[in-house]
Amino acid sequence: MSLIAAEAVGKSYRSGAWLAAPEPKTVLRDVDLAIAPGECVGLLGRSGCGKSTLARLLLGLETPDTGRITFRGRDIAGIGGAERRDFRRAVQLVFQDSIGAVDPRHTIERTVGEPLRHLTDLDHDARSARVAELLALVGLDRRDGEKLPGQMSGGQLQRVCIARALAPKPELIVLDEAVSNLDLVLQLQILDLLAGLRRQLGTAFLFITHDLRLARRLCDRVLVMEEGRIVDAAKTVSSLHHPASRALSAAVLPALPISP
Amino acid sequence: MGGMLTIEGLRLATRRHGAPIELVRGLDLSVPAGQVTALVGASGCGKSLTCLGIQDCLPPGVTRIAGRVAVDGQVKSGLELRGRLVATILQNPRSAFNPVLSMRAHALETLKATGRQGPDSDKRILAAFAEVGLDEPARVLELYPFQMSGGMLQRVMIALALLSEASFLIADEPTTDLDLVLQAHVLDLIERLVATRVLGVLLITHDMGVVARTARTVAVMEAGQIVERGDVRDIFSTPRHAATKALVAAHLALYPEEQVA
Repeated sequence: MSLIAAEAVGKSYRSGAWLAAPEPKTVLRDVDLAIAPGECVGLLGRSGCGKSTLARLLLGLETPDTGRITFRGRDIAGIGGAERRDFRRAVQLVFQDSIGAVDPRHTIERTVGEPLRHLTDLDHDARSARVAELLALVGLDRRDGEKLPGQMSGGQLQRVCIARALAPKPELIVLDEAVSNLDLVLQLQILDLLAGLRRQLGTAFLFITHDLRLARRLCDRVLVMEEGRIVDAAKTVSSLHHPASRALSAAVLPALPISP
Repeated sequence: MGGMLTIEGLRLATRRHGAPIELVRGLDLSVPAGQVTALVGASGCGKSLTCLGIQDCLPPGVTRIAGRVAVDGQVKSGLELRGRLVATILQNPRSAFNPVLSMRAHALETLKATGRQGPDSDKRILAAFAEVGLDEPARVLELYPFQMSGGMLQRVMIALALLSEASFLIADEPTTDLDLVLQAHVLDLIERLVATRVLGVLLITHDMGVVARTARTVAVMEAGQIVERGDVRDIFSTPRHAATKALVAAHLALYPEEQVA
């Protein structure tokens, strides 16, 4: 059974105009997507194609207009109480903007420990032991826990965000352009870190990006979105065939210099 | 147009607890007209600060303690350079526009600041918008930043650079915020302008793919200094400094082996 699935999901937003009643803008149409436990799925597409909206629906941050999102076969709209808590624990998210995703006044230890406070029954000592373990897992020092976000670099903060996402032992982490703001050396470090975590913990990833190079390195299979639909799916980046995928491949930067 | 933008012995410093800390430590760089010179390096190595230091518009607390910038051998002040001889485009075009002004107002401001405003202003703006590949320039003229995509805004930024008739363009991570397809379009545009307008471009980036695609010469920065420079092919084939090796290796690791050989 799939871990999480979108079944014929549609979503539209109304624009914020006050007086005129504008046409709702459809951002997702009839999207089907299923992620198996431990799988790494790449979701590719250009800006504004609906990638992030799909991620928000999968995480239950928004509700679909049509279709449904299921978690282990159950519609997430209908679950509550302990099951809801379990769902919240099982799916975690890492955003592109790591600086914007942490509270500048909270220490790293508090930031990483926050989901543990809300989603687990661990006491203070157990939490701080777990935080130290998590920091080690993402290659940070135990003493980094005392720092404030302002004292860390973008790459370190992105590791903090990954550690926080890992804290409640999730089964799926959605990475929404999670490495796009980092420089290439750091991107590679984070990709290797994610691949390692996957082998170690069996976490599934939904890796959202517009950069085919990154998807090629990390993902088991890739999906391409265009204008709110999934238009292409393949095991590897090189076997994608839809025009939208070809536009993405054509835009991949050259490996070696091409200057005259 | 044409010529050479040279930066000699640029040193930028800040103070922490009274003690000076040098952030850019004696940087020499030449940006010839008609080609792209790339300045690369890891985050925090001083690339962007260099770009601000050249034009003397440093953030509060950072000062230029030495160095001079010259165009064709003549030393120029920041005021002479900024927006006149050197135009700048930044990573986030949205933050470079005033949200309550239309594109026309922005363009007119550029023309006014460089003393080129006249009865034919609109015509010149439309020509610049067309030159950067904006569809329906006349419609774009009336748009506000929130009505436009990041790719369109970056094109308008470049159009404003053209209107100022600057001979040099400093592009600080111009495509990092754009998706891959838009990135390709903007890089195409920059390459075209380098050829047609003999523009000298200083391209600041951390993506060696962007360098491979556009640059002829490369300078690699680490901790406020240029540690290696050379022809783009040499930098890729025989990197010497550890920082260069790390950048090239990380870049090539993203490609399947058959493309790298």
